[in-house]
Amino acid sequence: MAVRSGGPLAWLRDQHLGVILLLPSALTFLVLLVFPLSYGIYTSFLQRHVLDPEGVWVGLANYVWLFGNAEFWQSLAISTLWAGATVGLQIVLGTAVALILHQPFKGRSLVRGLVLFPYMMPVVSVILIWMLLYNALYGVLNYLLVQTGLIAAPIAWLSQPGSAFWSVVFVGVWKYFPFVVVIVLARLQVIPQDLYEAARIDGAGAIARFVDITLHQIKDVLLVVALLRTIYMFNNFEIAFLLTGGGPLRATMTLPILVYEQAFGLYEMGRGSAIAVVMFLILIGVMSVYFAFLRKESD
Amino acid sequence: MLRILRTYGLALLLLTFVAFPLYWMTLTSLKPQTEVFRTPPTFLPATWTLEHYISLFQLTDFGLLFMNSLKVCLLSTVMALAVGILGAYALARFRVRGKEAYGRLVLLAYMFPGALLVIPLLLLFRELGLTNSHLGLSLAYLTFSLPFVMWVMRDFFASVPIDLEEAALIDGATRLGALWDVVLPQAVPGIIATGIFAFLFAWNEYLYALILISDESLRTLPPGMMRFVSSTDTNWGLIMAASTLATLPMALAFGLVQRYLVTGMGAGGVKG
Repeated sequence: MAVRSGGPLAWLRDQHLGVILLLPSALTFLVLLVFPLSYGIYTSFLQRHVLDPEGVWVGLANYVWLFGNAEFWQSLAISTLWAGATVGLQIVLGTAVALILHQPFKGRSLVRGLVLFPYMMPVVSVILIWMLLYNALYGVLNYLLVQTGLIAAPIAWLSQPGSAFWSVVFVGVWKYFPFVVVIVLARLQVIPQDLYEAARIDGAGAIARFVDITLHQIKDVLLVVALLRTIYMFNNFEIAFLLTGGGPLRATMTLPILVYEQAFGLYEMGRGSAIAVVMFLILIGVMSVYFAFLRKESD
Repeated sequence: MLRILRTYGLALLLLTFVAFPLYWMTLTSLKPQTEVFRTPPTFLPATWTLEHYISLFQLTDFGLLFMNSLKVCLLSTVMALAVGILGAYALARFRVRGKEAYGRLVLLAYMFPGALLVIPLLLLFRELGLTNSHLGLSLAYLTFSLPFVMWVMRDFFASVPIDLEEAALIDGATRLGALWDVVLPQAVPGIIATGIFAFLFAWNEYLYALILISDESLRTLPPGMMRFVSSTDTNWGLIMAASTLATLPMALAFGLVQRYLVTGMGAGGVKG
């Protein structure tokens, strides 16, 4: 450690100054995260209307209600499928796009920039665009698909249970796949080129080179991205809520929308909190996989 | 040759997939109302018009929504940067007991479900008079922007060589003096990129904005724009004009600092 002289804080030992610098953020987390989280968990044991100043302690009643409720299990299944489908497709599409953008071609940096747009755009703009594209009466998607003969008649994409779920998934993939592109592209750029040279000399074909080198090199990054995306998509409220409101016939009713329905549609703060707490516990499970993986990495 | 053609073909396909919805948004915003509903649709406007942009400001409260959003997002970004930079620097440079665990908690905080926090935040903020308040909403945004800033800036500070700080300390600077005079000037690109991300995350946020603000005069852009959709008579030209303008801050940030953005996004994503 360097010897210091003068200055108003020079007498402080490093340890103290470090703590002082961390204090504002620690206080913020305490007030805005830890306390609300505890309060949310506490609320999950209450029966409390939104306007009710205190609520009544009901113990585990909200959880008993929850686990006996078919709509909860249905939403859990929908959320799992939603997270699985959007993350799986994002990973496949994002990796493919990263591989394309790793090739040299004219205008590459422009395309690289443009690909990020959906990810960075306001989610509400994205939703409004796709509402218009999907529109059953004058949506351009139906027009193009009918013209090219891929479908016989216009489809009401967002108002039939079957098509609604996958239409919502498509928007989720469109908006969030660029994240995967950026991360995978960054990883592709640091794969040593001599690996490919050596493989070529050994007579490995294009597919063998891709599987043995490229895929092998990016698989750790893909796993981490998949975990992070799973957490994010599982939490995602807006895409399905704004496109379909959870319908039709609850076909897109993910857990966050179920929380919203209970808490702000029916004003049941306790039940809404109980669902949110269960979501949180599931996410803690996924996070611990992530941390275990990081630990293995750093060893 | 074939390989190059294939690359261009795929790039074009990709461009269509990403850009067509954006093109359609801009295009629709520039078509007269009658043309928006025409079948077959026009892929270039037969008549170009700015009428939707004009009526957006004359007939709707878009200007107010935009300014409210700007205010909330700037406020929360400044707070996140001020608090987050100090914390990130401490995590990167000081030996503090338990700082690894703290770093993990920060990451955990970043992944907190909004659905879990929104209920207690509403109940608590109402007690404190922070609902229907721009300060309240920007504080709610700190729940994700502060962990983000700390996580990214910690890596950024860790990547700045320590020699310059040591030299400054030997020359008699205090630790804080070294942070202010030596480290921060080098960190400006990182701070800008991180700040832009924190701003855009807040700008795009919908749930907290919907729940914590019910006063029409204080409402921000995302929930405000959704009100323009009506089940009976939806003016898509107007809505696409609003969507286009709401995307403007992002497009501007992009034009200015694209290479920093990519760095910031990479750092925020995977580094553990």
